[in-house]
Amino acid sequence: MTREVVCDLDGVAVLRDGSAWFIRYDAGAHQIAMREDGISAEEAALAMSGPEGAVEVLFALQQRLIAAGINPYAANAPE
Amino acid sequence: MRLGGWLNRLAFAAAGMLALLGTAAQADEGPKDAATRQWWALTRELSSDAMEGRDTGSPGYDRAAAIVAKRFAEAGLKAAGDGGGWFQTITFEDLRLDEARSRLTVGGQALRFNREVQLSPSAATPKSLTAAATFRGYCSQAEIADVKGQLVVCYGRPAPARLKGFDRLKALQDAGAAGMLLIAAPGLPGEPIRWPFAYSRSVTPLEEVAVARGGAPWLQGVLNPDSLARLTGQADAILKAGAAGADLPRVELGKATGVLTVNRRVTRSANVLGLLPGTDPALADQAIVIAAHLDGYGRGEPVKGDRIYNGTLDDAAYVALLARFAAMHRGKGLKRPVILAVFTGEEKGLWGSRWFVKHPTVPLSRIAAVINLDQVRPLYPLKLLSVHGLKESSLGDLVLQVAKARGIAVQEDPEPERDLLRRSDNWPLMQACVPGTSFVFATYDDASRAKYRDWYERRYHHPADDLSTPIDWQAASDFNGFFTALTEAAADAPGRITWNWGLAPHRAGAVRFTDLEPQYQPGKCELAVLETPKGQRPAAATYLTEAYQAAHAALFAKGAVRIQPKAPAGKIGFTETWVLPPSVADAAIAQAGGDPRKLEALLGLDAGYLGDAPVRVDIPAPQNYRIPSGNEYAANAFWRPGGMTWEGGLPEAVIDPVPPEGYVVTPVFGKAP
Repeated sequence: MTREVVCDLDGVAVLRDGSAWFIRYDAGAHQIAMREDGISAEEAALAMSGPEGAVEVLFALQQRLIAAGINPYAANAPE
Repeated sequence: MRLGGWLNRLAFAAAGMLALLGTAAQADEGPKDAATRQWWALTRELSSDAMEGRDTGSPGYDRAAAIVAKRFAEAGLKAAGDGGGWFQTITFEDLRLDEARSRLTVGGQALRFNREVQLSPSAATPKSLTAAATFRGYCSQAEIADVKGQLVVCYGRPAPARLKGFDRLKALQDAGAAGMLLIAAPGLPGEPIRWPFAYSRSVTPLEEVAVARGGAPWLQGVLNPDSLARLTGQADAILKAGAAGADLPRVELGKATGVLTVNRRVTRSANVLGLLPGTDPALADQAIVIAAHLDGYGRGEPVKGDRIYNGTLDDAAYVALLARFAAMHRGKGLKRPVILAVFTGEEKGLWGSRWFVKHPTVPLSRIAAVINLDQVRPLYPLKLLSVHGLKESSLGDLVLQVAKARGIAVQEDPEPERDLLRRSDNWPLMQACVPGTSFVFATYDDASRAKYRDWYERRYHHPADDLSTPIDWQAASDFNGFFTALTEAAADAPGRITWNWGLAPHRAGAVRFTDLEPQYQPGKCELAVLETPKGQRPAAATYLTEAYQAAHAALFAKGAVRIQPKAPAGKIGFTETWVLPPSVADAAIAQAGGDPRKLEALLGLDAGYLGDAPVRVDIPAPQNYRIPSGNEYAANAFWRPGGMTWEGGLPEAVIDPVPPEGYVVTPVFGKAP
């Protein structure tokens, strides 16, 4: 299986791999830092609702990553 | 009867009687100089058994407060409490676990209150509990996914390197847990396991109680690590692994059952506030607060037969030092006013200082700095001081000057993970944008480390923090002299004490290309913004001066620039994009001399990020320029308020996403993009 882009919000994309959902985004400020992280189906739906929902998902995701000891601002995916 | 009035009358009667109790001979020779002898005599008085440990809301506390007020009056201070009196009285709700009518068992084993488990009673404490109990290691999110309805035992502190910034309590509540028991304070190198605490009690200002009420039943407490062995059979392995930050096992502990009875009463306790008026009218709005806390743990579980937690070094000795400062300056005011603040309720949650900030008897806008004294510990020669808040404000510069003149070395807090800056009465004032500092004796050799550890294990928050503590009298004298000199230096300083922007040094050797530094509106500061969680931070316009905002905006009047490894593929940014001023890009590129590595260093980018042929993306007409609020989803741990990169100090802004027709791409060093 490969990750398929389900929704491209022109800067943030929601991807699907079977039943698993992912969000692809630039987590960097002055420096580009592309990431792909797993999200729930509910979060995927929220992210696909538009930029406001996508940012809400990214905030929650960042908190989860920090809690897991992962730097959410460092790249983990190719550009 | 108003408590303040009662205390004022009691003060004069109590002081004479209690002076008799302070004459017990010291086991050693005692202080050699008169000033230290006078300081220690008052320390003896305030921490004698007659004060019963000065628990918040207790008669013993009130007696001690009356003595302090009397000393302040004798020193000629002006009363600075409520209504022109010495006291600022707080009404508290006092919740106490009724141990005789309560029980808690885990896995069929009854846990003894204040020996094996200490509960923190609250309005949410359930009257009864039946739940599965489970040990979930550090209680990271991955470890607590399935704890709904369970009583969760967690290793005492999240290992800093593994769970940075983790809000465990909220995560457990969000996961639907029935409660949380933390294994008491394991794992921090400077903070060895200690037990027991005084007792299971929560004290909260009534005014705050209504805010705190509500929510699902929740049991919270601390578990003695010794009882881990009974519950898990693998306590040694857990404590050893936890101290090393290694993986911890999941252990099911059986059923937890409990009947919990919480008694409620309303009580009162008072801050004691005095003012040494300043001599320079032009500096009257720059008062210096010197602070210490009078409350202790009162009476509690006996240790070696002693049930009075005297709190001699924590913090009677430093209330006594404030009183000595007042006596020394009788009739000899300094240029700035000095407010002597003796706080109550520190051990219960910094309540006295929080109350003072919320209900200031002197407007906070007229307070320039706070110097706080809390369990300073003169147990060995004073060679090195750990200073909290050393780099945050120009008060730190004064600390360095005064310490250097006295041959005392100074270091920043070597154990930031213990968060000591936020754990004493300086913190509520600092949160309210008053620059502040506090100190502890630092260890520097095996002997000092052994004395510190012994004090921490056997005396800190124990009955043995009493007059039997082996004081190094020369060290005590040296510190007291340092504190007095520092307060005098702060009160007489030629310039206003100011916050340092960036709250920490900028990167060594950073080239800033501008002299612009963030300027804050009165009563606003960087620390308060940084303490606000991401997502809730205020807009920059609400705390930066208009002049600063205008100067910052002027840097972007001719456009904005991004420096990237390659040309953008389309629109730049999602909800916003981060940019630099063209002037800074020009200067950095010129200074880099064709070397991408130098350019990365100048701009604070990762080494190698720009590759060999970086591009410059010019945005001639940026839309919706603003100083970043820190709520942007890409605002990371390096974000600082004020629109400057940190640690580099370069001006930065965010603008709306830029469409392809809104930017021009050129090679940075003349090579084709």
